[in-house]
Amino acid sequence: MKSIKEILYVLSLPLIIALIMAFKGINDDKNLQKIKSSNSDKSFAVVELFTSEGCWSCPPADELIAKLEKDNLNKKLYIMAFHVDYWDHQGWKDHFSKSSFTERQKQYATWMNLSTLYTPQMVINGKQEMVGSETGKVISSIQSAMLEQHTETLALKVLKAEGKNIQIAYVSSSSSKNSDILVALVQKHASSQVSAGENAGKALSHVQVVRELKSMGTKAQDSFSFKLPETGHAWEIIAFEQDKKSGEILAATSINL
Amino acid sequence: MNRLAILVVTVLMMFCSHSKGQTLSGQVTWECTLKRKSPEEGEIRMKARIAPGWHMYALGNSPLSPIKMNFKFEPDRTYQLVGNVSQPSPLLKFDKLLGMPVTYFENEVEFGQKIRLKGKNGTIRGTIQFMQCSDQVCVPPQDFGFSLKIFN
Repeated sequence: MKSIKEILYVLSLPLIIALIMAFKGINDDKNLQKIKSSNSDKSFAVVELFTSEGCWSCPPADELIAKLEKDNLNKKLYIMAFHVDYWDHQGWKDHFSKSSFTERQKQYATWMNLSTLYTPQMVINGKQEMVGSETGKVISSIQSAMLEQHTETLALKVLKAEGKNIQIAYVSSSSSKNSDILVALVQKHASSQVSAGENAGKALSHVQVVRELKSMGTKAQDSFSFKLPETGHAWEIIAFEQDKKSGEILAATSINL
Repeated sequence: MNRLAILVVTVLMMFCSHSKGQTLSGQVTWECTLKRKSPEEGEIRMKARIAPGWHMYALGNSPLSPIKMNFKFEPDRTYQLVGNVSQPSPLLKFDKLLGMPVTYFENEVEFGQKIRLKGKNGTIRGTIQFMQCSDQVCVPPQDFGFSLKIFN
């Protein structure tokens, strides 16, 4: 009799564990939906993901930003995926990678005093970083970012959009003397063909892929131009003001093309 | 009482997610030695210790993959390489993302490079480029440089 009890007891442990995991998953999903459902004018969350098509551990992080992006109604949630280039070599290249994106990740490592680069890395509002697949941590960090109060100091306007040539102007009422305005050209949805192996020809899909990033010292107003790498996609321009010393993001806005 | 303790510990473990400190403290460490078999023959042995939860890619993965793993030895008049770097048979996994099988090692692995000694008082200088990932993260390819003095 005692042994049956013990067996039942041992069997109940994995069940409890499974239940807790399921509860965590449901809770994460609920919080994710909450983030996406609405926004206030006074807060924002800039979510940057450093990832690569060549990274074994990155797909769960890519899926997480895809979940954040899908049917998102929160206009103050800005998502950018930067593909780093440290795995590129002659025989293999991540089509969306750029060395300047790796430089940006290195800059974060300096700001945040990290000993190594890694992917997938998520950075929220330039202040908090975590492994990009840690759903619970990413979601709670976005939620706390959304509780901070900021005044809206940055606005964008499309001056020209002819074919591949885009010209954008910004106006800033920032009081910071030590910040940059960064502007990202973001491809809303992208797919790339796997060029090697048994999946050759199969498409990998991505969301919010940064194709170009420009940086300039903050002025009251200025303009900049982009050349779209391809046509036939949906594009978004995300602009944000970042403190040069701490990396903190002070203001953010976006405009769809 | 004991059972209750086990249960409490299990539940606590579920709530303590791994901190990144743990995630990233998985640096592969290398130890290189020169084994002499005779006055003319030797083998450079390069042993990697891989932290629990991490893996390091093996030699011989497709050049069409992003995997970097290679050994470079600086030419020197005092020794000559014999054949290529050898490795034990690695673990194999089909990588869905890359669409190809990839080979890797866990725990510990020793690579070997046979050499023929030609002169006296030489130094073998080499660089090992390797790549490591855990289940959660990958870190950029790293270079480990070493030099071994040949005593005659």
